[in-house]
Amino acid sequence: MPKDDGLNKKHAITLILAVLGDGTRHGYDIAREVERRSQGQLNLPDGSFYPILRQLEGEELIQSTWIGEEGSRRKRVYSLTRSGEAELAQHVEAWRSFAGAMDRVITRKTDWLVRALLLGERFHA
Amino acid sequence: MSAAKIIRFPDLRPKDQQDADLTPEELVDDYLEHLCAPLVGWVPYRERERLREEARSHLEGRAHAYGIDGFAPQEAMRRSIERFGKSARLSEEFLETWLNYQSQGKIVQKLGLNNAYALFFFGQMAALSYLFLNLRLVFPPSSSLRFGESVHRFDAIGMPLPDGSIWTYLFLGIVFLAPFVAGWLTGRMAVLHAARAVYHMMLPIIIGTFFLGVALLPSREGLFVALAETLWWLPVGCLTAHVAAAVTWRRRCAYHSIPIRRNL
Repeated sequence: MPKDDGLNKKHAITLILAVLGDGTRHGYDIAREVERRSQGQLNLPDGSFYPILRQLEGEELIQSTWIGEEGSRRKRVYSLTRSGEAELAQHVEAWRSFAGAMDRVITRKTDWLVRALLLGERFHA
Repeated sequence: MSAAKIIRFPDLRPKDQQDADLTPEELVDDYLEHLCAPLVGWVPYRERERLREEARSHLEGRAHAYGIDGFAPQEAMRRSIERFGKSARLSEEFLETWLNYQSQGKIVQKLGLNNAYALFFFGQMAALSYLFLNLRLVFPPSSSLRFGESVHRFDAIGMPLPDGSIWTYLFLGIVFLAPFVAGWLTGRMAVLHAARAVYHMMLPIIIGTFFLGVALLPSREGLFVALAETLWWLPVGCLTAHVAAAVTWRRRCAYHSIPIRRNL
């Protein structure tokens, strides 16, 4: 996972589970959907999805099957399991809580800064 | 009549120009070879084939999208591969996932495969050093092989180092060489985070040796082993494991079954 994206493996897991929460998809489709929904802001290397997909499969959070005929180009499609759905709900909850806390801290600091600046301007006036 | 010998001259053109000859299919094959070759020996053939097939499908899908955007087929595939990520790093990520989630056996699953290797090799070295230590105490130089008599000496004397017996030299030799041997073996077997695995597994070994050394007092050699493990085995073992793992991984990444013109 490239560090400059600000994304770690946990975030990538949340993204994959969220995309699969809307239905069955294959690897490329997942990558494209993450890109589309984030409007190109979350640029993970496409290959990074596959180790994570294997991990989630190992943890039985997702399941996969081949579609297409043997011999021709086949695609492996992934879908959430029941435990995957529960895991997704937990991830979403944890993320909302985290994002909310971050937002509150940042907003408060900004308020304080704005007040200080306004006070400074009044003082100089 | 002698058979005609084909002489192949090395391609001395810049890499970009060499790549210009490759078709998109060859570019994909080249990349997938680099992606899957380091996994040989760890990941079963069936799993590697699955990765290869999925990655190929992905690369072709992405290249098709680039093609729609107006890129030439070869450029589209090159961009697709670039977007997929560095093959060596992805192989490493895939292998790490595989080792973490496919390990067999309860102990290995609990410890993690890398830690299990480190514990196995360094544990053996610690056991071997203790064996030589005890043989040295039980059979000091010029002693007869009367076992019962020698055991009495074991309690009584805090023996100085060295005492000139063959066991002393074996004991000192194993204490000196152990981090190199065990570190190298660990690095060869556990190519991912080998140094970290050595660090994690050396700590319980050091603590165990320390308590054993205290139990062996007034003979101080047990504590000497604990000290050597802390000051010598731990740093040298970590470093050796790291170097061995890096060498092994580099060799694996260099492996290929078809001519590769560029390490994508």
